[in-house]
Amino acid sequence: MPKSSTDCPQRREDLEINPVEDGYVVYDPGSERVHYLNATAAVILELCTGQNSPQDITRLVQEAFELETAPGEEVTGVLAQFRDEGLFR
Amino acid sequence: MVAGPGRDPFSFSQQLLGCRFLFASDSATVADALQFLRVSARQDFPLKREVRFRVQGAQAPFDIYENGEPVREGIDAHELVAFLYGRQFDHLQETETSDVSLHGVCADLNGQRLLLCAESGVGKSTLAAHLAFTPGFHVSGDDSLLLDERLQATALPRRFMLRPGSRPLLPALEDAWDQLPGLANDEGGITRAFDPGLAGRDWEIRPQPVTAVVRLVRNGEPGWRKVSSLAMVETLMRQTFACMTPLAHGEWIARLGQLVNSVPCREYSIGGLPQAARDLRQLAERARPVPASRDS
Repeated sequence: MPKSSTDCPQRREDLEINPVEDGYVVYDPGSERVHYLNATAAVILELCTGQNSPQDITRLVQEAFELETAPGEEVTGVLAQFRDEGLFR
Repeated sequence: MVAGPGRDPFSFSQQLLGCRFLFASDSATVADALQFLRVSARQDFPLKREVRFRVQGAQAPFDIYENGEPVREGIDAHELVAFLYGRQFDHLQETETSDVSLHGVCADLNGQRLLLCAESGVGKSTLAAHLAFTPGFHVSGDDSLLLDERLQATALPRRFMLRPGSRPLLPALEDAWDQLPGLANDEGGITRAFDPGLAGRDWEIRPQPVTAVVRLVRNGEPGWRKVSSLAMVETLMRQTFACMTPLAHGEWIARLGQLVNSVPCREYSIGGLPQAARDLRQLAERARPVPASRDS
C-alpha cells in the first residue's frame, strides 16, 4: 500500500538551512525563529522528504550511525519537535 | 535663534568609514562632551554621505539639529553624546547596506585578523586596550564591526570605552586615565574613552578577511576550549545587531554560518591579560595560511 502524505513528514521548502560542521542552523522565515540542529537532528530533517515514514527514518538513522538498536523513541521525539515548531508542510 | 557659521566657537569634522560628520556648537560644555566622539584612526574609504550636526544651547538642556532639521531637544550632555553616537552609527549602517553588524573586537597580528566576541561584561574592551599596547598587535575596534559578503571585518571607528574596573588592569594608561574624556555611566562611575592613536599606537581602520573567531568567556581555568559550530553561530547571532543589519534574517544567518565554516573557531577563558595576549598570539600563528607551494 502506498504511504500517505500524512504518514511521511515533509519539511517545508521555504526553510533556510545553513549547514555547519556539527549540524544545521535553520531559519524559519514564517515564524522568524532559528533552530539549531545537531548532526542527528539534521539527518532526520534531511530524511523528512515526504517519502519516508517515521519507521523508515528510524531505520535509516540506525543504519547511518551504525546503531545496535533502532532509535525509535529518539526519532519520534525529534519529529514531534519539528512538528510542534511548524517545520513540516 | 540659529547661530551663523561664523559664530561657532567650536566645530570639527571627521570621516567614519563612508560618512563625514560635521559638528558645531556654541557651548564649551558640548565641546568637552564631543571629545568622546573624536577618533584619530587612519581611514581610507570613499565618501558616501555627509551629515551636519549643530548643538544649540550654552548649557543643558541642549537641542540638536541634523542637516538643519531639529531631531532632539531638551537633553543633557550625557544624552547628547549617546544620541549623536547612535545617529553616527545609524548613518554608517545606512551606507553599508550589505554588511552584517556585529558586536566584537578586531585584533590583527602578523597579518591575521582575529574576531573576538563575548557577552557584555566579559572584558572585551579591556582586553582590546591591553592588546593595543602589546607589541605586534593592531586593534582597530573594541566593540562593533561590519562583516561583508567576502567575510571581511571592518571595525566601526570609535574610541574604546573603558569602565573604572579596567583601570588597575591597564597600567599603560594609568598616567593618562584622568585626562581621557569621560562620561558618567549607569553604575555611578565614569566611562573613559580611549583613543589608541592619541596614545601613540598605530590605529588604522580597514577591511580584512577574518582568519579566526574567538568566543571570550570568564569561567573555569584560563585557556582554550573547543566550541561547536552550532554554539559559535548562536553566539555570533546573539552578538549581531539584527535591527541595524539591513539584510534579510536568512541572509545574515547564512553569512555567520559561512564564517564559522571557513575559519578556526575557539572559546577562550580569560585569566590575566598578558597571558591572554600570549595565547592569542599563538592562535594567530596557527591560523596563518600555509604558503602555496612553488611547484604548484
